Amino acid sequence: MARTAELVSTLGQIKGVRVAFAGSRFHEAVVLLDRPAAAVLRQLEAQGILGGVDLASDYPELGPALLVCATETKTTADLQRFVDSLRRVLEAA
Amino acid sequence: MNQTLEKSIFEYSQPGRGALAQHPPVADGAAVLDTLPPALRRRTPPRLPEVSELDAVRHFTRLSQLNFSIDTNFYPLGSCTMKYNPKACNQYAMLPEFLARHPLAPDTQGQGFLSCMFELQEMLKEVTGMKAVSLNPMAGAHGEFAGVAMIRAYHRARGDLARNEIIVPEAAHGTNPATATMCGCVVKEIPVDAQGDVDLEALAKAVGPNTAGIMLTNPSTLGVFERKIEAVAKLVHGAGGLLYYDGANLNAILGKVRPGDMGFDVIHMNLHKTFSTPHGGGGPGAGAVGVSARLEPFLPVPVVGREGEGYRWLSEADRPQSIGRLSAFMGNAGVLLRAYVYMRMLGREGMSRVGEYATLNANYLMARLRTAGFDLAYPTRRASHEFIITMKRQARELNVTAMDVAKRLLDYGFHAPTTYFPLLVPECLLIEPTETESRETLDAFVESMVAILGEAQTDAARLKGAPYTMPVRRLDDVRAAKQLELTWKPVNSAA
Repeated sequence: MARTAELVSTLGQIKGVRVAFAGSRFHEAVVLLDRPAAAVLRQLEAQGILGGVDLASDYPELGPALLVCATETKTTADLQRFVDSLRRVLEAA
Repeated sequence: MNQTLEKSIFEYSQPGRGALAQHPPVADGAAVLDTLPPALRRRTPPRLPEVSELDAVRHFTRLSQLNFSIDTNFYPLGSCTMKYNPKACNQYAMLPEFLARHPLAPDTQGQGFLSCMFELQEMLKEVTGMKAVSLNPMAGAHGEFAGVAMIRAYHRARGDLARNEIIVPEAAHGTNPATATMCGCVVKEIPVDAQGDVDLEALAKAVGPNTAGIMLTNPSTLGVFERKIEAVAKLVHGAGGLLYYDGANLNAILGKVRPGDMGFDVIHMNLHKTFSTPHGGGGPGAGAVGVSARLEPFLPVPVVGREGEGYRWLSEADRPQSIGRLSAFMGNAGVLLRAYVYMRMLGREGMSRVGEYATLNANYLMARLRTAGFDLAYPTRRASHEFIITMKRQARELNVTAMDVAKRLLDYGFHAPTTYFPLLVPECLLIEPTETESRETLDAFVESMVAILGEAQTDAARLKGAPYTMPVRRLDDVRAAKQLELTWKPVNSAA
């Protein structure tokens, strides 16, 4: 929970990313993107990061959305690398 | 075997003790918990055992030593195929890249795993003679369910809505009628003749416009090959029904005959039996299904497809008539990988040798036990991978039952054969030695059976009290089934 909270608070500061749902979270969270998630995931994949589950087919009503989580096995540095990569992908487009 | 019963791990618990090395160091964990609604949070901590890592290691090691296992004892449990599981299969399936792969990872990141699954599908097609395979079902009965669901879907898709009857010979697996009923079918049971083959006259009367299909086990649970299978197929297909092959155990036919060539439309395969993956403790298993061309559109998804040099999961979009998904992802990946490695290690020639030695060992053991004075249930038939002896005569003359023999075998260091199954043979022991046992082991088993038979004649009470060397003595199976007590409760708890 702590790692996911840490991840979500950082992701929410990226331009083009909004955190969905205000309720309490356990170990995963939905973040909304400003462009289709599939393309973003492909670019992250090229950097060696599987950036989350694309919710386009399961929850199309959310619009472009990713399900992300961070477990206790991840470090702050791991999370920062993901956040930096996602920021670069969104800024580059 | 460890002869001392082990305490529950709760009884080793000491307040505050733990394996702190495994605790994740999250400094602000308590603050995060405060974000959860107070009404939903626990007021008391869960009552979990507080033990050191060493306490836990010793406890579970001692528990494992209370078990009979294929790694420690001969285990001729008929119909269950307790063959040796090569350690290499385990080792390759445990490669870190397999273990750490997430099932939702993109296909592009799982080409190695997908290629293994694709090749497994292909090998199973080749072994069974079927047109297509899905690895989705996670157990034998799960595979049966998939098979009958596909038969129903096939008839429905043709508008043939009256076909809701499944014919089940009494020599079929016990799960077959349950599966048919689960799928909303009506079960029609037909007898077998004195030689263990399907009674063709009864079958001819049973088939008709309501016949959805027949569920057959071949070799049957009587341990014999169904010799009239072509006539059975002709009768059922002629009536518009389909043939289901219960391929829980393919050991005897591996590399010799193929269900697809016999005329079957659908088969499930217990990979944990024939293809040597561990299946103790109630699982996990794998009940892959194979089908003929007419049932291919209805296979459960996902299945692995090949496109050019790559692989991808085929889903509902590719198979709109599929009966759907039967597991959260694609089946029991670890079991499937072990089966894949096993098949690759055996190769085509090795598969045939499995069939040959499984059959040879069963017939050797059967002949030796017959010579030693045991009665065979089907003395005129050759054994397949297993055979049945009946203790009916000893029960009548000596008051010694199959269960007494089974319990006494434990004292001699052998796991008991399957007892009282199939139901239509009284006082039976269903014995499956498997191909991985040596002649010396089989001979030692015969010597023990002979010794037990001698005890039955001179000191029957000795058998009635067995086992004597196990951590527990003869258990009350009926009471255990009727008064289930599966949870630990503290001695001083009022709960």
